[in-house]
Amino acid sequence: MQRQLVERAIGGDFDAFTDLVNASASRQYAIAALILRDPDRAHDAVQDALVAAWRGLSALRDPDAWEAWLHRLTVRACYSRARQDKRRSLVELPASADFEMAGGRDEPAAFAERDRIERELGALPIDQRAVIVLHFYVGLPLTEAAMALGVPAGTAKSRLHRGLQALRLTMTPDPSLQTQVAQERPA
Amino acid sequence: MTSEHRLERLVADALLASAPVAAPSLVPDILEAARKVRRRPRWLALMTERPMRRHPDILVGSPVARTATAMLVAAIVIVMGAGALVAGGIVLKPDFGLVVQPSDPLVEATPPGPVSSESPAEPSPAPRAGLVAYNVESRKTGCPQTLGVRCGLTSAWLSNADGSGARRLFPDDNASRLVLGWSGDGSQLLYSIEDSGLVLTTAATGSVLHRFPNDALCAYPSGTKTYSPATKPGLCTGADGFALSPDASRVAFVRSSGNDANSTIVAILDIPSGNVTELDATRTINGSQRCWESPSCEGLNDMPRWSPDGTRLVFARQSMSPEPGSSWTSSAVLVIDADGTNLRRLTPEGTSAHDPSWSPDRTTVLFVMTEMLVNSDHTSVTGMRTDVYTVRSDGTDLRRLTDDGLSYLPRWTADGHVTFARGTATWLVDSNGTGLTKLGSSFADLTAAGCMACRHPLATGESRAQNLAFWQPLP
Repeated sequence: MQRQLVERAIGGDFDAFTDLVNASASRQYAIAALILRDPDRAHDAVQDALVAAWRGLSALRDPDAWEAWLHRLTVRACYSRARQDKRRSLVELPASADFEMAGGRDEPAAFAERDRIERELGALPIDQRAVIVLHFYVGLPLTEAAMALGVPAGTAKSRLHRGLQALRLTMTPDPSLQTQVAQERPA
Repeated sequence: MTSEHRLERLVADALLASAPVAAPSLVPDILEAARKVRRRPRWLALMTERPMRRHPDILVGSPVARTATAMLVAAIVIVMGAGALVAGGIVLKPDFGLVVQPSDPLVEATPPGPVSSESPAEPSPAPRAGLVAYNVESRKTGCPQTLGVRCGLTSAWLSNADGSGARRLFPDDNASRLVLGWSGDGSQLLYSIEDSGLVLTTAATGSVLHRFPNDALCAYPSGTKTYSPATKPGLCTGADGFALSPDASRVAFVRSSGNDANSTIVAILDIPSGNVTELDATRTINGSQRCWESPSCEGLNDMPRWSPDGTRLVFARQSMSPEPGSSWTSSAVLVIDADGTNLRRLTPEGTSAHDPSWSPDRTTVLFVMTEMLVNSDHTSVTGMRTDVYTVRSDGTDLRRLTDDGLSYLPRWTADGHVTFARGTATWLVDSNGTGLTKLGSSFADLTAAGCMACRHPLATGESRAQNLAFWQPLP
């Protein structure tokens, strides 16, 4: 079904493209918001990505690659938006009020730990955060995450490793390790 | 559950918990923005969409189409460029054009011998002329008839030595380009571009070897002021003020110096490095056009010319007439070594000489001497006589070649004769003043006479450089 929509959109059918946007916008928005940690810029990034998709859709030679390509465009748009305001993208953490929480599944005992993880995710460099989002939230295997990021699989793997190591250290009581992590982070 | 897996689970949970729901306006915003975007045609999208080179599974864009298109565009550009070069006459063939035959008696004429003790250089065979570069005055396309707007357009042209095959360089350019001369071996051509500076090109292909903007040439009074065509149009010196050395390694010119706009100095631009060296001994101060108002006026330098061996320069220095109460200019011809030493005056005190040039054997300097005709109380100029003279490069043996009072623009021929303009005609005379001959007005006639720089048949310009044609020397 999606393949047919993509084929029609490649041929210039805007209605088909509308259906594709309806099907993918929320998902891409969640990805962008998790990477950028800012709902407004996530909104802009997803809009940039899907408009770019419409502009360049006729260059997509394999309709089955639509989703992977869209991930790629979204990540690229996130990077672009992050570059426009690098300072904000690195230090701003979202207040919970900015997000409409999808859950409601939290148990009180786990909340504090997850909150710490979430905050620490926001403090990671954007390239590490992006691979974590694609791998753990979207559920892409590392090879496909690398594809969406436009980097070799080895690079994606090392970014994921570094990101997880940083998160792990936030749960480690050893202050010397935490200092080491802080020093490795970009200013 | 290992700690690693626990962490991954925590991360996944955190992401799922914090993943936001898109705002209701997102999809309409996207669709509205997409509708406004003009969709690229497939071929353009294939060419411009960034392919995923590392992951060929996602087939986006076409590197093949991109490469093929780039090669096609490059081929079209090359073909069009080559066509434009050929059509514009920029592709110069050094051996293309009328070559003066050695049997021509004018070419074979022996240059007159030296008349002073200075030993001349070994006489060299007369160079053959290949092409002719010259300037033509016209009017800029669409230029408004408004006071203060520069509408005159000087265009650079090339023709064969017989005048055939005339073609304008850069035919679509609406900025003045002024040919200033060939290198000694005819392989390079120097010209200026209005408000843009100097350009040295190869004669063979017309490709730019060096480009020197005005900022690189001029020194303005403030020392930091940059060149501004709006406030100071033209080059930092007159068109007569640039001279390419015979070996094409240097350009001599005159520029303002220090903190005085009226202070001029002869400077040498080293072409390979772009460095400019001022010849301090030539510095003049208070050289304003209203020189008579300043007792300390030392005049304005102008028209530097290289000796054939590139070791010396002659130049003119314009100042006020030394006569008390006079209000007309005087000038002198001076010579200096290229290293800035041995400055000396060649022309007698009390005379007005300018437009100097070296003889091919570098022993003699040719110039114009101007005599002002004034009223009885010396308060106004009633007329002017200009005649052609020579003087030895040591300042001796001043000779008058013409006495009609109407001769100007003298230049040496390749074989040591002298050509000059009188009215609209060009004349030829031996360097001792004998053998005066009026030349025909065609390029072929001038070529046959051995012209290396002569007033050309199409000359209508006001400056010397605009009126001169330059014959390409051939090794």
